[in-house]
Amino acid sequence: MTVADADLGLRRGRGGRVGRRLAGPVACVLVLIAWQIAGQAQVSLYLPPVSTAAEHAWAMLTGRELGQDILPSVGRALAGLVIGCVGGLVIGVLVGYSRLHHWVRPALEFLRSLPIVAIAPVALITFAPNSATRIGLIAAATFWPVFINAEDGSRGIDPRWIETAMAAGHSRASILLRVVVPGTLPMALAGARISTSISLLAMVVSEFFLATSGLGYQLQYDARNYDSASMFGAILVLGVIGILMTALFTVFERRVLRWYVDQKGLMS
Amino acid sequence: MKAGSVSFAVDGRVAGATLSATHVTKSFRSRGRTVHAIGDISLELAGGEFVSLVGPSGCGKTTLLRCLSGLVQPTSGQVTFDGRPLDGVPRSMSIVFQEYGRTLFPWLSVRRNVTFGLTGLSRAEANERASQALELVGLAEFADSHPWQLSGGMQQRVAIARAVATRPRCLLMDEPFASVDALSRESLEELTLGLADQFGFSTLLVTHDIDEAIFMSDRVLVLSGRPSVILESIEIELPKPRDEVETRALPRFIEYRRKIHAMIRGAGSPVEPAS
Repeated sequence: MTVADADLGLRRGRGGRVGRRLAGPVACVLVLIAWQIAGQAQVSLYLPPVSTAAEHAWAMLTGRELGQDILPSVGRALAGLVIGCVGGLVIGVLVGYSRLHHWVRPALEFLRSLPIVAIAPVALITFAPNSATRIGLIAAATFWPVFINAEDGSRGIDPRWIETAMAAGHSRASILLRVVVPGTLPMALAGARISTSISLLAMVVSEFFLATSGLGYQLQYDARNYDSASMFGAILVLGVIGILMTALFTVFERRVLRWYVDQKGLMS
Repeated sequence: MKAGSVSFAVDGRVAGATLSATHVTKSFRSRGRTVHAIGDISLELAGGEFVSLVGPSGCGKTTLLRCLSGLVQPTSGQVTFDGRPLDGVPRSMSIVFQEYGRTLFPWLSVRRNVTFGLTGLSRAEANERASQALELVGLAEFADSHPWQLSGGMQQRVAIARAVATRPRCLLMDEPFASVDALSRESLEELTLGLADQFGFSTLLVTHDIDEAIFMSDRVLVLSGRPSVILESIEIELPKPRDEVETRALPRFIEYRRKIHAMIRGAGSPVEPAS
């Protein structure tokens, strides 16, 4: 019995596989065409056709903006995302496993409900308007989905797993590392997927204030100057970065959770 | 001793441990009410002996096993392992639970699941032990599979391999064959008997299956319903090695079955178990 065998009969539907694979791209193209027509018809003074936006995006990706704004922004987003996710996993598992839940939940609920847009200017003034603070803001925003899922997941770990490990003579630390963390990973990574898109949001917001470079800064600068072509160009760039990051995350998730993905594939 | 069908390549005989309980009781609070799971139980498992605990479902068999293993503390009374009071699960004790799906780790390969139980050995030694154990249960070629790629019976074999890989001196089994199909169950029963015979560990089997208890055991302890007490200890004098077909057809086997059936139904449970 292998995964491939199980796939044969269980996948629903036979026909139209090519059709389904093309559906997404076709829909995208239709939207772009609509955008192009709307832009050329000058529906709004500030809506450029997609071709103009794409030109600007390409200019950004090939010009000096790449090294000056785009790459530093992406770097901060990735750094913040990694810190936030690792922190969320570690603290979430510790809180869930140690049953500190009732003690820390109210305080954490308060912190969680603070919108990142509200914290960003405060943090940038309180600390310093530099990269470290911006990375910290991104980390703080991406922490929550992972933390909440990891906490929930580690509390839901099957007690039989723990007993099995105890009976085998594993220490509490070893149980935490070898049973609780891997058992929590599927849920934690489901949270991390949400965090991946939040990281871009937090990155842009963190560059709205007290910044002199970065994608968020560019966006705001263009908006202030009513330079809508550049603005839409920046938005296209952001969209591409989002797609790339999601793809990267999916590859990572597949690697780490191979057992989980394959198991689901076998059962679904 | 055991004739032919399985040949054991490993020589790892151990001295079976003695496990004894004196006046063990267990009660716990549930929704404000105190539930007396175990009335007053004293029992002894001698070195190398195979003893089964049978009783109506909900009679506290599993709770008793958990007390005997050191996973939970009895409310009163004492459990000793080789004469020493229990403090947690003894190193030379292994446990096989009913729910193999909940005790094997899906993120580990079959081999890693077996070595998981081998704390305190070097990587190489652990791998060697795991290979031997998987060989014994007939799963050598599935070492690199994951548990969920195997059938229920095969998964329980992995759990048994994990248990024997530690070279236990005492094996506790909690309804280990209850959730596998009938044919797998027969071969698992024979496998377990063969391993107990080969290695000489003491075995305590908790089951609600009277036939299984008689077939496998040197002695059967019949439990009452909650709060459970031992109704009787019955020596099973059936020839060894036991055979799934022949042993079960013996008049004496049928006699034991009738006796234990009557005992469980008659003295029964004061509280009808809600199943």
